Amino acid sequence: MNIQATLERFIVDELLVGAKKTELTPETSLINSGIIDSLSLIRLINFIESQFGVTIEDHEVVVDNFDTLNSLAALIASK
Amino acid sequence: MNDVIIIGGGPAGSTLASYLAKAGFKATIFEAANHPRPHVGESMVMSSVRVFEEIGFLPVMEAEGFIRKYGASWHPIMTNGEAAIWFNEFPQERINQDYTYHVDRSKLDLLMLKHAESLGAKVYQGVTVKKVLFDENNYATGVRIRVADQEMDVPARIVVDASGRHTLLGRQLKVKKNDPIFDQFAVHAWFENVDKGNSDTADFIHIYFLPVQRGWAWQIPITEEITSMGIVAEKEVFREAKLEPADYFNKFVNSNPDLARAMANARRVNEFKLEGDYSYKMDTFAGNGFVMIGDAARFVDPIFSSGVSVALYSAKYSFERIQYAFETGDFSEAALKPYEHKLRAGTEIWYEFIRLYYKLLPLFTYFIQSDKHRLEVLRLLQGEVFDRSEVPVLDAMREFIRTVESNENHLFHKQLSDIPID
Repeated sequence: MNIQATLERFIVDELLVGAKKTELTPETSLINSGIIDSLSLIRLINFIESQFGVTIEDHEVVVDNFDTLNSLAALIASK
Repeated sequence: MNDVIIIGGGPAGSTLASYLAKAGFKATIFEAANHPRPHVGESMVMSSVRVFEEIGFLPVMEAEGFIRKYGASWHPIMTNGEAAIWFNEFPQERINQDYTYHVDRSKLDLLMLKHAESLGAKVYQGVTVKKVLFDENNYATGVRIRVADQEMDVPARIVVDASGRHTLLGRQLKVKKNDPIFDQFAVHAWFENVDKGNSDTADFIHIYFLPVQRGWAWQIPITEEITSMGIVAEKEVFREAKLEPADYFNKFVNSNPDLARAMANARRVNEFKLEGDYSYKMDTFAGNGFVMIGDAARFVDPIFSSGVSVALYSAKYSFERIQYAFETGDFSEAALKPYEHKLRAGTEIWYEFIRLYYKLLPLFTYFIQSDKHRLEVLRLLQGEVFDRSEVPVLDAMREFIRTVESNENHLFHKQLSDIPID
């Protein structure tokens, strides 16, 4: 499974519960739309770090990196 | 003459009396109330266990069957967002169990007082101490008590203020300072039929975040049936709400989905109690012939259940200096001051941790879920650190906050509060 698909599976299965469960596209806005709140964000960061063996630096936790599956995948791929 | 007079028979006073009596000192407690009496502060951290063991009280805790506390759980303002820690993830030296306790304080405090008495301390209940007596050299020499309508002076080599939030000696010496940052207010009561949730964490303390600055709720199991529930927020929030305690309480219960679910079928079993003005410190809490311990020395905030532990360790560390004073015959401020330095270092660590916590709430949740920081945060939460150099995780938290503060695009930026952390 590639990076994007892995991320999507985690977000849909673990972070979006009940009514929020929805289809994600590579450009769906995760942060600005409120799909991911700060607590989900923490779980997402921890998932990324353990799943891909990378470290997300504190200063990288910004909208530009986290708002879409595409931007997240780019961040991880750059590591 | 008494070696030591202790003003107040709460956990701090009874613990000190137990240490002293075990070591052969003549210790006397004057307690204004007649125990049992209710008290807030019903949950403990792990480090309390060690002091219970040292004074031989652990078997009493076990025999009484207090609810065992194996961990703590936080609930952000969302459904099923629970984040838990288990104490067994971070075993502590010389503590042979992986749980601490939740208690009915009226029971705990009475049992501790009886324990001190059984070890040889003299305990007088229903006796009010009016003031601490000082000689012309500013040495504490004893206390003036009132029994029935009679006042009487009782001498001692050392006077210990363990009067709790009455802060008798701190007020007498005018060294009490309200905290410049925290002015929190709590509304709490006991309930039956609280849904304590998932069986793994049902008997943990549960902390629910509330959607106001520094707002949170506690859920503490007292018995199988009874659960203590409290709402904490800035006093200003309570003042501005202009609501009766019950309405205020219910309003906030409904502001966190997990909390609302826990309370859906709950039934209150005693009156609401209000607590305020509890964040303060004394400029000094050791001087010629006296020390202050427990809440009589300092209290900050109940968020991490640190109050009883600080009280027990203040008793332990003051005992060491009192013992030294009797060995050397030196009862001066200089002889007793090392106790103050030690306790202050510990309470300052709690204070820093509490400020960082309130500064950026997601930070705490982030750190306890991170492999890198989790154990260090756990260590802090166990309540055994009295040396700032042993907790670099506080520096890591500060560093993280600086990063978030300096970057408006950081996803936690909006959640920064205005609490000063330096």
